[in-house]
Amino acid sequence: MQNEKSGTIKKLKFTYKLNAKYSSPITHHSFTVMFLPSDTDRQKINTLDIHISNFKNYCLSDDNFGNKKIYGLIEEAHDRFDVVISGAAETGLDIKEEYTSYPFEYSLLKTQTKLTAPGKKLIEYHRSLELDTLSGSYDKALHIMRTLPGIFLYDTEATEVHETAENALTIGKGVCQDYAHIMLSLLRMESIPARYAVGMMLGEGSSHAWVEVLCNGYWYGFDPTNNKLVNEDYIRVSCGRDSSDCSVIRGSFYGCVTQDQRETVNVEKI
Amino acid sequence: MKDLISNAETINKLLARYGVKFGIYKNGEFKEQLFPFDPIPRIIEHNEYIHLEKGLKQRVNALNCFLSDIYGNKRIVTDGVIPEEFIYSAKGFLTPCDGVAPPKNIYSHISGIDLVQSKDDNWYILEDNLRVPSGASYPMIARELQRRSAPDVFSYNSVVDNRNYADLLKEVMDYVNTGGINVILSPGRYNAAFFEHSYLAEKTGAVLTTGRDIICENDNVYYIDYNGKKQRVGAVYRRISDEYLDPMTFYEESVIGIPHIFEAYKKGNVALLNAPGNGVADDKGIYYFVPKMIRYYLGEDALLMNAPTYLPYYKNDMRYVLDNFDKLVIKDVAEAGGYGVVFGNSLTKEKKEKFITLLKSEPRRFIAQEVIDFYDLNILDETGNKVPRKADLRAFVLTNGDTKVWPSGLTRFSRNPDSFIVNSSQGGGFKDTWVLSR
Amino acid sequence: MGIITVDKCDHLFWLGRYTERVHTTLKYFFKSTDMMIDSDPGFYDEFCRKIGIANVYGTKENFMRAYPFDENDPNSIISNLNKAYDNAIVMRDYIGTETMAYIQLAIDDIHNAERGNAEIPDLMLSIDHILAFWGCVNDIIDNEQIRNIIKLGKGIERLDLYLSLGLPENDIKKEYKRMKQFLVKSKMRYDESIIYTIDSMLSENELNYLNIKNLLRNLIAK
Repeated sequence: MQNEKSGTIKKLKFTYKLNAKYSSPITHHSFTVMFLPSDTDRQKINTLDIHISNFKNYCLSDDNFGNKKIYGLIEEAHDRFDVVISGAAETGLDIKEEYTSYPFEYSLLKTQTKLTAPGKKLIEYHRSLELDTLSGSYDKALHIMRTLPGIFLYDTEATEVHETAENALTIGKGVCQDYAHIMLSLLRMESIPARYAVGMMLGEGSSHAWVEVLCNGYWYGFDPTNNKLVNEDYIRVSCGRDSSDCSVIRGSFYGCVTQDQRETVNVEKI
Repeated sequence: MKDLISNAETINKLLARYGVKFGIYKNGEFKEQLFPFDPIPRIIEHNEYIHLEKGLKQRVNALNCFLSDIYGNKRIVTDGVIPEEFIYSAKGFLTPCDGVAPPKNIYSHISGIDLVQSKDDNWYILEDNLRVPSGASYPMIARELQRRSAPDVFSYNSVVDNRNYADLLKEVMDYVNTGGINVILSPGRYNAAFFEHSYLAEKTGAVLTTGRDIICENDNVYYIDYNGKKQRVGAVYRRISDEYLDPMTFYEESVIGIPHIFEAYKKGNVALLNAPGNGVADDKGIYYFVPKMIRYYLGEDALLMNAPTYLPYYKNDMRYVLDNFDKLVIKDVAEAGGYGVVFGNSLTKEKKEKFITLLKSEPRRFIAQEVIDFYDLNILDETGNKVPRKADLRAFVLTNGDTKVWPSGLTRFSRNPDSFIVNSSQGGGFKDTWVLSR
Repeated sequence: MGIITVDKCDHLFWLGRYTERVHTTLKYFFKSTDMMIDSDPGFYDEFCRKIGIANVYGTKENFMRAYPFDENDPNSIISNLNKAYDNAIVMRDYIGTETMAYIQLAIDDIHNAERGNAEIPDLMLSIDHILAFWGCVNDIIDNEQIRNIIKLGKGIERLDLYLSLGLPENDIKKEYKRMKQFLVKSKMRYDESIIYTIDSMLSENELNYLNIKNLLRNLIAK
């Protein structure tokens, strides 16, 4: 396994903020927020504070991928919805994460989803990569990551929220979600289990997405958007088959309104 | 029997009067159509029914075992009986349901099993419907009316009364209820089966709702009255599909679902009938494996046969399908309601070539079946003459602690002499189904 | 059963209103068509004014055709009956299939009348079925509150129409008294001050129909 070096441990503090404003008051607002990082082999979450628009009575649940979420119902009329999740983490404890999930996750994560299913363009591109000349999942993943920036450009305007990997590749431009979906699709064509990961990166911006690949019983993180191996600058929040398993926020309410929703993430060294 | 036939028009008028309709969208517009009723019943002899009943119970029991296994330990996959691709790529396999056991561990409470009788008198299973099978209300109300219009026919023939369906359904809801009222969740009056939703609510005493009156709070489900008073809900007979059930877990844009009901269900605070995730078991691809399931879980041979089916996924089957394309019917596993069904011999040369290319590129997406030579049933045509038409039977199997077959069913027929497709959405009609008690 | 939600309350109330609207306007339509035979062929204009709809009909013949039968005319008899049906069909579990059937039959009557050659006598059958519907409401629906919400809708609609048509004061007083009983039994929320005001207005010498009508509009809390 090349490129393996134990990371330097970093202490980071992070803040995730979501501010939504509605043009007029809404009622019966059900929400789910899935942005709660938890401990892994790579990271340890030392503190975690959750603050939701003066709302204390939320429920907690987790899903099959071990992602934690909070949710609740605000019946009264309101025209703002604010979420602040902040805390402190230690990262870089390891470069990889042991595969301990239930054995079926392995098969599930080899299976293409609606968003990653390849079409003509992806099949063609997959062929051109000649991955069969490489041995081992890690090297294949690395090759995919290294070559993707050559044919895919970063552009926040090019793709839709639920864009498929096939469409994104056809357009040739997209955001971190599209990079991750394309990489997942290619890996799964090779029958390599891989998952979509959502999290934060050192600095100021918004939430980020990358790919985790199962190699010899360990998950390794690859960030195709930045062409970078996931290291101590990353805090993982959730993972799943594709972006639809990792929606950070879901909401439904009564009211015919326009909403202005802003998400900011800040991660800095302590 | 003459009485029945001469009263056909009256019965159809009465059905209209009671609003026995189904909705259909044509050119984007919602229309309610009457479901044409044919007065000549399908008659199932006593001994034949005993056989069917055994076979149906066996099948539904095995399907419930399968669902419990697939969302649990997945022994059937690790033991190599079903390839894992057929599970994880099935549209109906829902990861959020993995590891979630429904109340009393029942997944399919109301199963609609479609069968046909062939000319050699054998019954074949066409498909299983374990998600939201509809249609029981039509024979229920038709029987009620026929008994009124031709009482003598029913005193001379020993026909098992089928009007207990609502009682059976209520028993099932009560059995899995986690403490609270029973509700029937309908997408609303513009749904094709709204008549049935409202009729079953009336007959079972469950509350009919479109979800607007229901909230989830702290992992419990409540029905809200006009004063704002909350009443706990213990069982939801939901007539909306999985993906629309809960916008917080499944399809986010759903406006007919109940936000967070899946969390309440996961925590065992409400029963959902049928359980979400059942689609993995009635997938057309999984259908092929049901006889194997019966053997695997129950250690028995299947009493009711599948129509001979081939999976192009297997190389040998693909070869057979290509060699015998013209005599087979090919089905897209993702489609339902009679859509996505192609008869090999109906395609032009060009279309056939195109189809075969598609089949080769996505073998998992299709199954191929031998065309069964249906045993036709007589119907009355517009002029009052008896003419033979293709017909199937949807049997309803209800599962609480016990598995019960409703001694009747929905017999649907094609009104078009050349068509095999009996679905109401494609212009079919229905008949009463008599089970003889001796 | 018997849990009445805000939505269900609304459907029951409007079921009452629409069936009553059809009932009273049909009867008034019969009276008006009689006048239009010889004494006042243009009476349809006053008909429209009185029941508060726009006169879009142009000719007597057009009015005779469109007002009862035209499903694209939102004010027609058939449109109002369809609206009653829309409210009934979602309440089958509360009012019963048997009760609902009479709305369906009333609709069928109107369609038959449109196709037949004796429109007015055929339309009268529709009234029979609406009366049968009311009979079922009384006879079949066990839950007193459900019955009374429907009747409240009926009572308010009737009062509104009687006031519009300028019926005698005694009729108004009688219907108002009945409506008040339903109001209490329906347990719906309403503005009590409006009842006090109307009560005191009724003891005056001459009733101000328009004022009462406007007050009634705001009686039921939204």
